[in-house]
Amino acid sequence: MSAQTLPRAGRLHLRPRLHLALGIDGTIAAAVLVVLALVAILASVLAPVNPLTTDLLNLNGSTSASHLLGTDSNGRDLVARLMYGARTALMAPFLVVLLATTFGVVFSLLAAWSRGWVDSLISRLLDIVFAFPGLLLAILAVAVFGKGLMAATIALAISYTPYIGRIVRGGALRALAQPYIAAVRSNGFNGLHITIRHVLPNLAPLVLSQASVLFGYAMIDLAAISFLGLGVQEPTPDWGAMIASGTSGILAGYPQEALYAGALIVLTVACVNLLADRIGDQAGMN
Amino acid sequence: MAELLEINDLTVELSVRGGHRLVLDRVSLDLAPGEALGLVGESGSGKSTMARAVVRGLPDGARVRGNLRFKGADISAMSPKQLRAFRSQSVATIGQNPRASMNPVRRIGDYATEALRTNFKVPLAEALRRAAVVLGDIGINAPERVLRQYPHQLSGGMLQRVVIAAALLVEPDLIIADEPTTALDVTTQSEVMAILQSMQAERGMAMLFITHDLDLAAAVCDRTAVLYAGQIIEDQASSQLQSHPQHPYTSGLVSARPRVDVGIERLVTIPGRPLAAYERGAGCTFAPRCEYATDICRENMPPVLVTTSGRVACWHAEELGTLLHNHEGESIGS
Repeated sequence: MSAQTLPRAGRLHLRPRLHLALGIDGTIAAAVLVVLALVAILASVLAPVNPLTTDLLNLNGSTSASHLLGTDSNGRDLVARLMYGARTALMAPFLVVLLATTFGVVFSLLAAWSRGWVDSLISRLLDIVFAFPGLLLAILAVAVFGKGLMAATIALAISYTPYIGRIVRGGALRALAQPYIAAVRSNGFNGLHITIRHVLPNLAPLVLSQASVLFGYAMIDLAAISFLGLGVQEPTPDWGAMIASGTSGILAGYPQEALYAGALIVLTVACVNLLADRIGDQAGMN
Repeated sequence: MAELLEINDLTVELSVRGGHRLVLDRVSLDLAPGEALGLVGESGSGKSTMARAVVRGLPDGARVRGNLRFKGADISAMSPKQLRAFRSQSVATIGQNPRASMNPVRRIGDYATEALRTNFKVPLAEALRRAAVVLGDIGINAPERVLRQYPHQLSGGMLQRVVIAAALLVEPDLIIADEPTTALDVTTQSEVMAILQSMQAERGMAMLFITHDLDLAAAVCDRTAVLYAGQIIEDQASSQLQSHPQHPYTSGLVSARPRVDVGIERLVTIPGRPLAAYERGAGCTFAPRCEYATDICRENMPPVLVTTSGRVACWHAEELGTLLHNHEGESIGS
């Protein structure tokens, strides 16, 4: 190495950089969620037995060598059912949030950019949707389209859209009033470019934070729908459905099924909310 | 020579609390390709409004009359698509505050290459390479590093250079610089001005340079126009404007400058306060403050006289010509 170390000539690139300082609790929450997601994805590899296999000699069994967390009233292994249950329990709220965020962002950016009657129309539509409780809309959708997760997911996505939409519209209006937006306008960039390249990046932390909060709500709502027997149907494992089928066991002295599934829902929602809070701190929302 | 920018009888009224206020009153101005024109005036005289009118960037509710032509094309008749092409390719604007004109969450490289990539479809790597070259040209060390930084990591002077570089990258025909050095300290000001001037001259771009600094305009521009209460009262070659002002207001401005080479007790001032265009009476806007004003000045709007060296809007321009010159001479002598 030469005595005179010149600064290395940087390469010409613009690497996207995510500046997120989550803190210790935020990092732990994120780690828990990553582990849960990995378990859901790898359920078929990790699960000790088939979640549908019944062990008829071991109904409502407690913790044992063959069944780590015991069995349900049909003698099915709870570890396997919780692992497979994580798939629907995590995937469905994720879809709800993804759809709601997409709808919300697209419509609100359109409203904020256009102003005038387009803004009024979109905002009033969002207000109308806002008036319906999500769960009620989902039950209505199930009543019309039949039992199952799909109808409930789409119905919840629609009813969550205003939660994202209102925040994005407000943020976008604030961002659009900035002088640099006037500057890019006077440089002849079109509305699509300005909203996507300039407004959206400024709103990213806001959207991310709100989406995380909604994930928690969606998870609870979907669990409630499955608990009511309108969502995931037997014998497919799902945390919400497991609470429902485990309810009778609580009174009979076998609380494990409802307890474990409930605990996992609480854990996931708590972690998601904590993470949302930390992301919100970054966005200066709190 | 065919003019690049022609402004004819431009009248602008901005909406203020329900009503409309006159900001620019029948302003006419031409700019030839490659020419640097200074636009000098006090705060509120309509300088920035004029700049914004040229790119059709006036706030909602503004009423515009008159004719704005760029290379013969009527700017006010452009379709949204033509307007975007005009704004993105033919004209570049440099604002007062570089920090306000940049998105804080995007990098310098994004900012500098945005126009090339979006409007000229230049690939990212090529656009970055060109940006690095121009940043180097205007005296930024390690341009590759600067391109990866965020606006908050650079000083105001550096940011203004980046804004200038971004404007140069598009190779526009016209640069509109609206007080580009106002937010910078004096030493940085001179550097930035030197860059702007040399780049403008080197690349043969026309420039509309807006300032309230008469000396700066004289140093940078071929020609200087003086705006008072929404009207151009004088327009001459910059060198002439300093030594031979034709309008009493310009003369007052010239003598009001502090000098480093002559010690004086008090700075010369122009009595009264500057009027806004909408407050004006029937006569010459400057009449209430003018020591040479006569009845005709107070009652009738002065005609625009085309003189040997430029234009002047004053009833007494011919008689005052030498007098104003002497007036300047006196203040140096005393």
